[in-house]
Amino acid sequence: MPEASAKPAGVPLGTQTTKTQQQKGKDKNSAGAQEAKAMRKAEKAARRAAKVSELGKSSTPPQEAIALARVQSQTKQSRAASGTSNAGSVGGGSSNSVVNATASSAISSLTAQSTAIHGSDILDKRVGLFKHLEITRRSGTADAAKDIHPAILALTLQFASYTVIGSSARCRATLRAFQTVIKDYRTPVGTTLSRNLTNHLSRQIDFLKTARPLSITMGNAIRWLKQEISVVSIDVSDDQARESLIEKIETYIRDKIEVADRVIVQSAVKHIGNGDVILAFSRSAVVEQVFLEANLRGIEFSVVVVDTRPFYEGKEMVRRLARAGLKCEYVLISGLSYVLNDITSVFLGAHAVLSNGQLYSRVGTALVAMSAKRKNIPVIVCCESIKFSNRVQLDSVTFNELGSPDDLMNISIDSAPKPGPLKNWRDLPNLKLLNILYDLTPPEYIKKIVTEVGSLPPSSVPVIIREYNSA
Amino acid sequence: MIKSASPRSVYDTDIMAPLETSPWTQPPDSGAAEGFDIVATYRKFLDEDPDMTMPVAAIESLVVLLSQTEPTTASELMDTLAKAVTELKRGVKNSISLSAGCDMFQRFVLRNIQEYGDWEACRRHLVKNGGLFLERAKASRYKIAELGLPFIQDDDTILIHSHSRAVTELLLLAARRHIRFRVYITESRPTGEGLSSAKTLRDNSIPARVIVDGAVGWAIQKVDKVFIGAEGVAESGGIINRIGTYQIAVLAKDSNKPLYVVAESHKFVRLFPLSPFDLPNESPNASTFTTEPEDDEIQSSPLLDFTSDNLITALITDIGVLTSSGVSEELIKMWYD
Amino acid sequence: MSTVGTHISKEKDLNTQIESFVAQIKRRQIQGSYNVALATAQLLLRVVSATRWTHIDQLITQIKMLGKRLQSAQPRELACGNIIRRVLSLIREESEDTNDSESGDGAANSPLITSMFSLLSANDEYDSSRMSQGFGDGTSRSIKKDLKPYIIEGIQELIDELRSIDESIAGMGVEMIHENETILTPTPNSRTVLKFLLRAAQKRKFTVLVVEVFPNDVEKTHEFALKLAGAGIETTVITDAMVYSIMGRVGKVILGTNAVLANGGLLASAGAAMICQCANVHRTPVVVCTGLYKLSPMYPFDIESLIEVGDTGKVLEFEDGSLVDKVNVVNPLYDYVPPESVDLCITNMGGYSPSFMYRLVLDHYRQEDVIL
Repeated sequence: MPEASAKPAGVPLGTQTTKTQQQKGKDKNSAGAQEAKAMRKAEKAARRAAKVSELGKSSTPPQEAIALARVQSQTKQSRAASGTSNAGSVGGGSSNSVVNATASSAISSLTAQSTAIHGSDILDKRVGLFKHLEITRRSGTADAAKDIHPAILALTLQFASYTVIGSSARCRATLRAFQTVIKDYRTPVGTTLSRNLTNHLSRQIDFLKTARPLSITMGNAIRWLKQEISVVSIDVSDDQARESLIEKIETYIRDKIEVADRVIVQSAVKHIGNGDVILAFSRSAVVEQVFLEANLRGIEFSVVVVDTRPFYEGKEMVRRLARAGLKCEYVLISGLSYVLNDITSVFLGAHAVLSNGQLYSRVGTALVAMSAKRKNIPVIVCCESIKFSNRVQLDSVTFNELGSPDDLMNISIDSAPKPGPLKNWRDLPNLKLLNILYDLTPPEYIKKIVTEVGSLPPSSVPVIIREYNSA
Repeated sequence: MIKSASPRSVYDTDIMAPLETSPWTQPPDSGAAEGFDIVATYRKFLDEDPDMTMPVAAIESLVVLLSQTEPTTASELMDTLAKAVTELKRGVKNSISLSAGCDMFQRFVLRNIQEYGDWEACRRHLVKNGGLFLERAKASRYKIAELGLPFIQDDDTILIHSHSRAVTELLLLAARRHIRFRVYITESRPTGEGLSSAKTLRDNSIPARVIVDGAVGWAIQKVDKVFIGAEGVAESGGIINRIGTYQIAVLAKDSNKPLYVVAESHKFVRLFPLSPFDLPNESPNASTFTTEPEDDEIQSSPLLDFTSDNLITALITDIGVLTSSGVSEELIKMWYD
Repeated sequence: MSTVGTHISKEKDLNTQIESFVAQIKRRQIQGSYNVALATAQLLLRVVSATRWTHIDQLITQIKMLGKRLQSAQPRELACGNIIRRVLSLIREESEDTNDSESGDGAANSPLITSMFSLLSANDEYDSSRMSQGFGDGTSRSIKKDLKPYIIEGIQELIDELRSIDESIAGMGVEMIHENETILTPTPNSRTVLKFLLRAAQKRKFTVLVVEVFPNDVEKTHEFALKLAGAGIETTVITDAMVYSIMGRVGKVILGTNAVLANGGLLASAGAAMICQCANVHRTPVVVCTGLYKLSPMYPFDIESLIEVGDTGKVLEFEDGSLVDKVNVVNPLYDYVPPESVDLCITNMGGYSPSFMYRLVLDHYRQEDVIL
């Protein structure tokens, strides 16, 4: 039963709060009180945000509000409501982005706030190679300016707590929030919508960025939306303009994510045959749909899900696949070479595919692809063209996203956080914990990229980008 | 520009060097059996016993020579041997494998004489045990099979190339021990020896499939491991073997499939080729080009190639499962004190 | 009378000691190959002192039997068998030494000839004469010269060697690490690596990236990082998944291992194969630190059988029990690292290339003892 597995997120969060506070209290007494105050403020803001997004139900799917509620409040009803799983439906698979908030991310969002208070501390604790990257994690919305829309506040918190995770899901959630923002937008006197709405959105986006850097998909979508706004004719009434923008966003989500996913699934499923053993890494919404579709078609195959700390996204995937009746195996990445012998092909998702053919995806992807390549196992990447980026990059250091180092201190494998021997790691001047979220897989490890515009080798990525941008 | 490779004769000079400088090699003192035809003896041995390998046939021929000569000094003995060896190498096409046997034999006699001074006893021992060597050679194949047995597991798909007695022995033993496996065999053009391997295996109820040499790339994905025999094992641990071995090894490496060489230690030869062009050139036509059609083109295609040690996972020999440095150690131990 | 009595009680005592040792390794109460090796050597010391034999073959057979028992008690702890084989080779050596010096014709007995000559040599004759000779005066020989003190001395030396192993390996640290280098270690549960790094840190300033190797022994891993950082070494903990992204900045990969196999391959903690391969594609040297007692004469014929699988509860704990039977969770404890992934093995006997490990195997074990 889907409901049964819904994680009691509230309890561990509560215990962790006190633990973190105690721990911080040891560091600096004054910090504890300050933090508690910030926490209360954050919760209040979140509750406000949840209420608002519930009001705007017509355009905003309930999941976001619920997911938020899961993190922020602890009521039973909300948990039951969240059980409306749409794992089976092709389009809905990725919209159900409510990955159970892992306790570790809850810790990170809390401690990150406190570390932001002692800014000097965190500078010392940065890993040299990655000092150019900023940790922007936040958990409170108390400092938000008045014109930041509550839907954006809610989304920011969901991003920060990794409640909404995965680049398609984040893009979709952002666009949905923008729909609400546009709906509630009123052009101030003395200016036009096409001129002012872009600014208004930019302020919302800037706030979103304080949770996590924008994903490539979000960047592409925002660029598109701004373009659309700029061409809104002055002759159209504001109501009409808003209506049409909301409609366009809807179409965009449908075409670029939902339809694209369906096309990719239909194409990629052909690579699965009877008797295949397929390896997947972490969780990708579209890869998951490929497996479910192959299962629906009656193909006899099994899936090995390789997962990694600290998010354990693969758990969610294995849960969904097993529930659909698929034969699954689950292993952490350290056991990769043990399971690799029987694998017939590897399916990977993407955060982005860069113009030089490099795959930018969840950290660990490169190791999986490398090991597969070495065994001559074909690696297939499923990726919507919205994830294609103009950027070029050669290693995983120059550009990346830092997660909270405190996620590594938690050695638990389930929702109950368990700080290991490193819990006081900040006290040791020579000790650092590194938590980067992505890595770069070189094109030579990838056999094929399946997109909604066809299948291509990594070297053809710039071709698609050209076509896509000119369209 | 295409130029024909000029075969360097690493072979003759290198192998003979220690003998020429040794105190035992003195101006010939004729006394050898004049009428004895070493090449014919060698051929006769091979013809009579299909199980006999070239190095063993060479050794047996030299033993026969010893039994028919009455040398008066140690140096005369060595000289008689050296002459016969040269003659044999010259008289037989594809002499790498047999020269491994000759070299070892010469070295053995020399070392024994140096150590004990009693060359006559040594000669007597060799002559007396003539037939034993063949038995031992066969026994060493059986020992190899025993050592190699754990490499074969149930449900394996194995690829073998052409025909090798040591590989066949190993597979037959595995089948006798009730291991169930399948074998891909290359046809091995132009000799077609793969077909005879297939027959032997099938006669012993081992499921086999013969593929043309060009199909190895197609089959390699489904193969678990590759077993290859050897004509000669070079000092580097690389092997000289039937044509087509090198490309199979490259394909196996590309797919990360283990490639095991199965060979008796008396095939270790004091050669260090860097490429197939360092081997004695048996088919000079193959490196020339012509605009005219040629009738025996296929027949004059090269028969041997060289596979370097970095493509070989391990060598299964009668003296153990060796890495490439194990081979050079054995050769060094034999040639330098 | 009384001597016989004490002897029997001694044997009884010994048997209970063996029993308890077998039970201990069966239940994994002795952990880590070093501790197992040391305990095995100490047990053998007691066995040899308590056993009486009329012919050396009796002792050898007895120790072989013991080895067989220990091996079946814990087939994946290779250190046990390694020590047994070391001691067997030591006993054989002692007995041959005396044999040679007594018979006086040592030169004839050792046919000086390498194994390649086996085809031609007259080995058979020598062997048979030696065998008959051995059986003929075996009892008289052991009366003439008691080997026991020599064997005990040999085992004692072996124990001393074991105790000083980490020291001799650590001594090479300075030669391996240069100033300001970044070292990555995928086996943070190895005490050999810990000592190696700590010693090197006395002379060099460098950074260590500690890979977690989640989920097994993660507490130990984290404590390893704490110890390094505590000793003033710049230490960064990273997850297993991050290895590829950072490998380009790493100077050397230094790892410990559970066993070194005859082909130079390793049996190291899970994840090591992938990490070494990652180092290979980045052309980063891979260095293994290992005591000789980890060197096994085994060849990795069947890799899967060598790899122990651990508690799956450390990997996945479904809150929802109904999924447990649907998902097969795997938690391998070890990894087989092929020899071509390793650039250098640092042992207490010095540094060797993995392709040369076969020689150390031949030097320390007898062929006839490979199968106990």
